[in-house]
Amino acid sequence: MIAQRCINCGKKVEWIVLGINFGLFILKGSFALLSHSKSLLTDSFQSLANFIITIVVLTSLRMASKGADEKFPYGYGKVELLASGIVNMLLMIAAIVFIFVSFTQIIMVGPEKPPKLVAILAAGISIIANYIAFGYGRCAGEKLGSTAILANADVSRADVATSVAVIVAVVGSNLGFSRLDHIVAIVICVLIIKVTLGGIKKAIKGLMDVSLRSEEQHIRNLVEDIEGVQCVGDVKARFAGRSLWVDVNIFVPADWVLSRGLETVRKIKNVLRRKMKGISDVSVQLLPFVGADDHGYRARYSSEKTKRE
Amino acid sequence: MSEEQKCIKCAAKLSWIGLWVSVFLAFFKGVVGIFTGSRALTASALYSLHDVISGAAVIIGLRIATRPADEEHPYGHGNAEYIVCVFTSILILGVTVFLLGDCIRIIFRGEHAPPHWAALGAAVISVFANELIYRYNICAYKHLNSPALLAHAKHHRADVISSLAVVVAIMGSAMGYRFLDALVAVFEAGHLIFLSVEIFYQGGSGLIDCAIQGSDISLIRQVLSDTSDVKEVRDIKTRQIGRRVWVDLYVCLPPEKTIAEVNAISGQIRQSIENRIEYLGNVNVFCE
Repeated sequence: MIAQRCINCGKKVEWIVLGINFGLFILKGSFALLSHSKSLLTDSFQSLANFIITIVVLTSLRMASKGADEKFPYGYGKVELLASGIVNMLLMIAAIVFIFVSFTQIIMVGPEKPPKLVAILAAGISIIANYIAFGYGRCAGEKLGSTAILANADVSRADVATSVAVIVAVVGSNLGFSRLDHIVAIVICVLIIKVTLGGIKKAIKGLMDVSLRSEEQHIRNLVEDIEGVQCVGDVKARFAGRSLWVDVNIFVPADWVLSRGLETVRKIKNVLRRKMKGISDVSVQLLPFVGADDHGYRARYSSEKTKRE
Repeated sequence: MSEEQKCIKCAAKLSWIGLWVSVFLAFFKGVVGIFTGSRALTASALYSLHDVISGAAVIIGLRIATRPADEEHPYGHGNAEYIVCVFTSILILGVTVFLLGDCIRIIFRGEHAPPHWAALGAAVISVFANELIYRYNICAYKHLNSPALLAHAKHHRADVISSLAVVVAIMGSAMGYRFLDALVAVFEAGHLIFLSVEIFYQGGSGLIDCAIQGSDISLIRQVLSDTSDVKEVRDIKTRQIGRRVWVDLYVCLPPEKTIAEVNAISGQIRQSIENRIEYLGNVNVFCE
């Protein structure tokens, strides 16, 4: 049983991380301008990126909860995927531009004054704040079993690492390695590109309705155990945002009457809703079971596939 | 007959030739535009880039999107076309907004040296190349009556007009109307923003599973009401995956029928929908 305290905590955690990220962006941005530290500037940019992504996710979740209508019969869940894909792409472009700017500064401008040591203060605050956000997120995510919250917690932990790198860069360039600040800035940009690339890939996979192997296998196993189901045909699952749409084809004895078949369908829906998280809709198609070698199934599907080709 | 076959061959080649001409022009005008400082020519390069993307989306749609469903992609590859549209239109939108800001800045500051004459050469080349492609497209369209060809032809005509505007702008700025170059660029950028938003909206609504047009849905309704065994239609859900239409029907059938009979009825429904709607991907009939 999940404690009520944890559920409340899970609701709040995204807003708290949002606030922390925005605060850190302002803090690190202004300190970066004060101390002329390029690496702290990219670090603040990363906090801004996290802030924007969280806002996009929160607003699209609100939009997704609007439910289906005439124009969008499957609901608005995919808005989340689309929006996060676009935001990640824009952030990646920004990071690439920043890398170019840093390179030209290294080559054209030459050695500069090292950044002032106040930058360390901002980076230190960032480390502490992000570590708190990470611990908080991980606690809530593990208690509630939410992968989304856990993923957010990991982002916070990655921010801790970049802030540590900023401290190294600021100290190092003050000790005489004058280009360290620029180099760390570039490394942070490369990390941002890596993270955003992952986000883009995930969004594209979702938008293409890529097969969800483990979920589909799980569904298949659950359905197979249900009484009356002779054999399970196609199982398709796709994400609409965070919820799953499931299509299942099952084979039942051909001489059953429909009402009995519908009884089985109801059972399947109940079992799936109870045993799996985030299922928004289950559609079950009943097919007659002809024989052990299911010729009917093979014939129908191969004919459909050739038609599509 | 052989005349028509020649036209079909010509049309098939045309879409490729048009694409490559646009690729070349986008690059050429872009480089010349940036080096000569002509904002109007740079905007015109973005126009050609827009043509490249819409042309490439069509080809991708025909190639990847028609690949059948496989293990990894149980719903087919249709959405690849939409994804290309959405992501590239955002890129164009970004560059265009950037250019627009630059132009507005120039107009307000009022300091803009007239672009080099090389820009004029590039614009003139673009006018002739696009006019040529337009003529070919119109010829093929007249013989084959394909709406896609007409759309292509219109794209290239628009390019001709935009390049002509650039010619006017560059000559005008050379004669002393210095703001003309930036002004033409502003108009072209404005139109481009409109075009990109349109592509983005189409691709985006496709990606979040927009329903097909109402007339097709009423066709499906017609089929269902013609089938005597269907007692009640609970829901009709449709979505477009690339070019294919996927249909989920939720209907009530008489509960005393056997599963074999039910399967025969749904096969019949599937068949008659297939006869009415082009580019059908899949029809699922769910009993409730």
